[in-house]
Amino acid sequence: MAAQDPRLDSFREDKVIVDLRHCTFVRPAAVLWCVTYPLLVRSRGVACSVLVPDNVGVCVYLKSLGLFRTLQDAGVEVDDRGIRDKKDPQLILPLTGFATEYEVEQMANLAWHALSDSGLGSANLHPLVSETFAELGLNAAEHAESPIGAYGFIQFYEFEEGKRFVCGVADGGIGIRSSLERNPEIRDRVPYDWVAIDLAVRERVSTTGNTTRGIGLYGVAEDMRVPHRQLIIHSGQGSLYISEDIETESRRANLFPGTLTYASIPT
Amino acid sequence: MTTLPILQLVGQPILVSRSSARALEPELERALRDGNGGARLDFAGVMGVTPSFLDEILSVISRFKSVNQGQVQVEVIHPPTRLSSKFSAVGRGHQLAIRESGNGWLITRDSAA
Repeated sequence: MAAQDPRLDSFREDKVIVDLRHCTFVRPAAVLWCVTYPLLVRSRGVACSVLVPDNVGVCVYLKSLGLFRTLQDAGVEVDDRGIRDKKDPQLILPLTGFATEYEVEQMANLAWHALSDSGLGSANLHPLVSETFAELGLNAAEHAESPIGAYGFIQFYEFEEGKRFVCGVADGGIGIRSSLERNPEIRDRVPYDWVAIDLAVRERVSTTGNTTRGIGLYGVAEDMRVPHRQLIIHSGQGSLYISEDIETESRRANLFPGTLTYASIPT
Repeated sequence: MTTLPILQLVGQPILVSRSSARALEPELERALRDGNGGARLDFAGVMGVTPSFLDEILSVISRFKSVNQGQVQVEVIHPPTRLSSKFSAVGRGHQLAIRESGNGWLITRDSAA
């Protein structure tokens, strides 16, 4: 597993191919892996190509979200010939890269205006969606130390179980465990990624040890502990899931090379 | 008591970053000084605020409280949202109590701290 982590010096691939050809459905959160992994590979100077889904509908969705353009701009080979760039009226904020707090603030305000103009969902949820995205983005900008920066999107999505706003943010950085290990008071309490994530959503647990910090992820988790909302935090080999029935579960998971956060708010 | 029109001063409806909050520091310090620890923050037109933004605002209030060894009473009128646990937690970190009042929120020294 470690050899496949493009953040590590032990990563020795000559070329990486991400094969999505047989994907008939891509969940919004999975799009974040599809941008993070190839961009990390490219940041190592290694050639990378993404084989797009055979399913045209899935291709159109990924293209409208901005995935293919983001990858191509970073030098990832993506052959999306013949896939039309359809404007998706339910896309509030396409996949957008950022690295600073200032950029996060601009994106959150852009998103709020787009939400207001869209008329989608319940208007009283629009500020919550913008705030949630902003807080997840601030965490990435402030703590990730990601060689590829961070990426985020906001979408109105019609799942089988109902209509939802979804916000996703991902980076290719050091991960929550390494970040918390910077705090000497916590270092010995985070042996695993899933333990670190569990701590990170508690009040006033932070990298800095400053007693006024460490509210961001705690606040998002509190906001998502409402029936039918969801929060996924995936960092390294750990994940935390706050489910629709407000159960919190942290556990070992497949590697995410950085940190992914995903909030889902029904409307 | 001086009233600071936050939307007018920051210029955006979603208040996110610490740097945006820090831009309010001179006006807030002046208002606290002139009001002997009392000031009013008017969030009319503001649609959202993050804990990070509030944390920077409370840093200024907390510093004033420490330096002047005095009481503080800051009214937040037209807050964009109800007072949730995350905002109360930000207050506790600064040894400030935030509670809902008739017009919005009231920020005072935390007597339990």
